[in-house]
Amino acid sequence: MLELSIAIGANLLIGALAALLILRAGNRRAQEPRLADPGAALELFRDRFPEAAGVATITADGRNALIELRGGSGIGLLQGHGLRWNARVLEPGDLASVRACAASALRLKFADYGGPRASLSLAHPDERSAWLARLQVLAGSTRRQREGSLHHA
Amino acid sequence: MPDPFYTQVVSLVQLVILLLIPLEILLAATVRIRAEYELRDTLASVLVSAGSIYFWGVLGWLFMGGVFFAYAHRLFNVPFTWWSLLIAFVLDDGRYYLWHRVSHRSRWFWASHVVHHSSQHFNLSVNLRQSWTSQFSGLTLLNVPLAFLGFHPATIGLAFSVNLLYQFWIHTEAIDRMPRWFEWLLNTPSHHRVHHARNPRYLDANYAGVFMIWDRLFGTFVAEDREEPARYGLVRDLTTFNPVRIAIHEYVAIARDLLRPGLTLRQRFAYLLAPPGWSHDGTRYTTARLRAAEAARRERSRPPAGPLAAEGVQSLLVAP
Repeated sequence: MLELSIAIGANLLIGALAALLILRAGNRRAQEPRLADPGAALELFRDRFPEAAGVATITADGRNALIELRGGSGIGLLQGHGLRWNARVLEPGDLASVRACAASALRLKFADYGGPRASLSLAHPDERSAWLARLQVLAGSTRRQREGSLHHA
Repeated sequence: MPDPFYTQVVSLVQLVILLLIPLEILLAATVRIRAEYELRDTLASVLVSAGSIYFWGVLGWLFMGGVFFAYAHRLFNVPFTWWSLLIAFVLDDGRYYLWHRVSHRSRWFWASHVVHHSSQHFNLSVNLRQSWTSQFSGLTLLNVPLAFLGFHPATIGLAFSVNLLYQFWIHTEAIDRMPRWFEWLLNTPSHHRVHHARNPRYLDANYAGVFMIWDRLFGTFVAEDREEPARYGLVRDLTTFNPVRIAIHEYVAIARDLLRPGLTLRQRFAYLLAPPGWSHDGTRYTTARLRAAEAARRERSRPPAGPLAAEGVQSLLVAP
């Protein structure tokens, strides 16, 4: 047990040293990239889905974007994850729930343990209510899918 | 049997090697070598590593127990010499290739190994992201044949450790290419960048630990293409730095799939053991499907052949 503690301790110590050096190098959260405009969001989204086309709405903090994909191919979500961007197409079954909170935020809960939630702040009330309605439809289809499966069973 | 001195040397080397992480960060900040570190990503790696060491310590007997049992029923007595160590090392590297390939091609084993691929960065700290569950995934059984052949468990442990230590330096973007003979024979940062990439053409390639020969032999070698830089991470990336979620997310996903109502027993088995991305209704993407989709997309975006293409070439030639 002593050897195990030493190994874990050494590991954490080196981790702390690494963290200190990263902080010293100025690589902090403040440097996380922000989306400049909807075009930039679409471009980043296409890095994962090269043929995607649609209309993007950027969140107030510039760290996320919701994309209405053209041709009825669904909703795209671009999320800032540290220095990287994650893109996904939301499908029935992905979104567990969505609700509007104070301070213009939409809270999304996913059926995904590796990406459980997102908070999207949309500045314009019209945009917010339109996206809330759109996402609620998707969350509703997730619910119906589950209920259908249960009924089928 | 190897002297305990070897074990101490391996532990010391391990510690020294870990210090290469702060060194890489330092060099990236000062002399601008190619290495990108992100605080939360590195911290997540460190915490995942702490958990991994803990579970190795607690469940390590599963690995050693199987090996000792097989050694007790061994076929031959292999002495501890330089040549037996060399043979053990090469055979263990073959074992590593098989372990690694299975770990990518079957979801139950992938659930354990996915941890190592969960970072979207590629630097020395990625080494720290090791599985918490490798001891009970079942693949430790692959260590048994060497012991059954007569290699002492300590020899196997040594070969295993040296193999893992070798792989430390290949997790970097700071080194572009090694000399050609080296790239042909051994695993290098270039080969391993391909392995960690999520670009469809790079998926499920370069499983080797030390000797690249296994990939060349079994058709899983893919060379790094300068025209297509590796994009690291998972096909469906995590949006969390939480070490517990990183360590067990795929098991949770498997459990959810297994508990789906209305599936046949065969489908449930497939959710457990089929390649990652398999689904009973075909709504998800396996590597094969991703590659096919990418190939189709490239085909669509290729300029048409014939008079129009020739026209295009001509206009390029006369353009100022």
